[in-house]
Amino acid sequence: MKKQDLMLIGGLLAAALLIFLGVTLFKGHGEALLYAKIQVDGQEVARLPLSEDREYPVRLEDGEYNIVIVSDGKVFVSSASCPDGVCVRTGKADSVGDSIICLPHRLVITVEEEGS
Amino acid sequence: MIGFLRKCLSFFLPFVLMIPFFGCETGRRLYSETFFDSFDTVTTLRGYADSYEQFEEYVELARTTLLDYHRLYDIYEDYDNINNLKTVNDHPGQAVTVDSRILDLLEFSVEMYNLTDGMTNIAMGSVLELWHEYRTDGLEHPESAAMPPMELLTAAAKHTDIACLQIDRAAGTVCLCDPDAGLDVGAVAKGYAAGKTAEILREAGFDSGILNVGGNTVAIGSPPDGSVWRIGIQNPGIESEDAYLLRLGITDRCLVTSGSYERYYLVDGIRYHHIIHPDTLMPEDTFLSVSVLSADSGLADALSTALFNMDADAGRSLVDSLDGVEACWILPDGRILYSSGFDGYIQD
Repeated sequence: MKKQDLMLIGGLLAAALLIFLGVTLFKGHGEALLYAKIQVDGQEVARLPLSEDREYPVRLEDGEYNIVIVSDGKVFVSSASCPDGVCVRTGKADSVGDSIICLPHRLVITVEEEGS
Repeated sequence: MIGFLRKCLSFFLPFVLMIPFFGCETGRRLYSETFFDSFDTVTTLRGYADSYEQFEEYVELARTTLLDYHRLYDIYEDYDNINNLKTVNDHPGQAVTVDSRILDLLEFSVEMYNLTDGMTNIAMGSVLELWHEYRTDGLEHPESAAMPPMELLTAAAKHTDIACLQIDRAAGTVCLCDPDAGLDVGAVAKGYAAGKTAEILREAGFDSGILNVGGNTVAIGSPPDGSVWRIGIQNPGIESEDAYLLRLGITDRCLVTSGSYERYYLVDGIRYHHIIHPDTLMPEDTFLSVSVLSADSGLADALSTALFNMDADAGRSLVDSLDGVEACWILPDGRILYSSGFDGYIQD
């Protein structure tokens, strides 16, 4: 094998490695961007990145409410005025496709990935 | 030798360089939409489509299909120009002409009755109606919430014979021969309709997604990267703050959970849920929830109710006798029991 061949092979392998690392890092970074999509009666009202801790009260017209909290990369309902409290007892969600539902208020919180 | 190696390398290296890009550009995106108009619950469709417009067409198809099934299987409301199950319940002794989708469901339900030895019985309407009435009142007026008296329940239970349901496929009619009996398809209809709707979506070209009708989950195909759909089993109320207790990876398979944590009411601080045992006529607390995996959504729904009402051993031998069916039982003390092949679906 000639010296040029080795350089070519080495160069190509290095390039492959760089591209692979680049794509993996990019993908990995993309996957980390999760947010909670909040819908009331099928209409989206907010998108809360799970990376930012915050409180988001959902207030409905008739004085009803659900208090949505994002904390430590998880989303949950801390309190609500609905009769059954299922949304509060559901607990914390943190993976793509997870949902928290308050049927009486037609509130749906789903964990989604950025880009969808 | 070296020349050969060189040729190989120069041939393959471009492909090696391309590897990182495979699976990146599919041109399809993940969409998700939620609606509320059928089966008194929330329906979510998520999945891949070429465009938002195309996905919206799938959503509309799912919505109208489910709404049709909802109207046909409804036992509480009348609708213009259709005979539904309420029509059948309201006209005992008469052969009522019904849509073939009603005949399909009723025949399937009788099969499920036989398979589960009566542990899912759609002819339990008289008993379930009492519970429904007391639960509705109890939720509206929590201070005066009461249990249905056992005398009323046992009297109603005399009218729950599945043989009083007469299905005439050729004539396209259904007749309930006992005037005090009633049909209630709550244990099978949602799962059955979800399965049929998923089939219709698939025929329309929706080949990668998840249809969830109030906890009846149907996974259609697999995600475009060839992986599995990750779906969770809800924490039914054991000590843990996480919403989901288990994560499963599935493709072309349905998951249905029956749990005591969803529809219930309180009487003197005690919780009475909506799954009524055909023999005790009471909600049982042997399990917090039972989840069933199967390729057949209606079967998974019927079985989850039946298993909830059976003891774990009997349930496990029923599940193991069925091809492609797996189940998991969550007990009040937090223990989880699995059928023999269930762990093959658990992720993490």
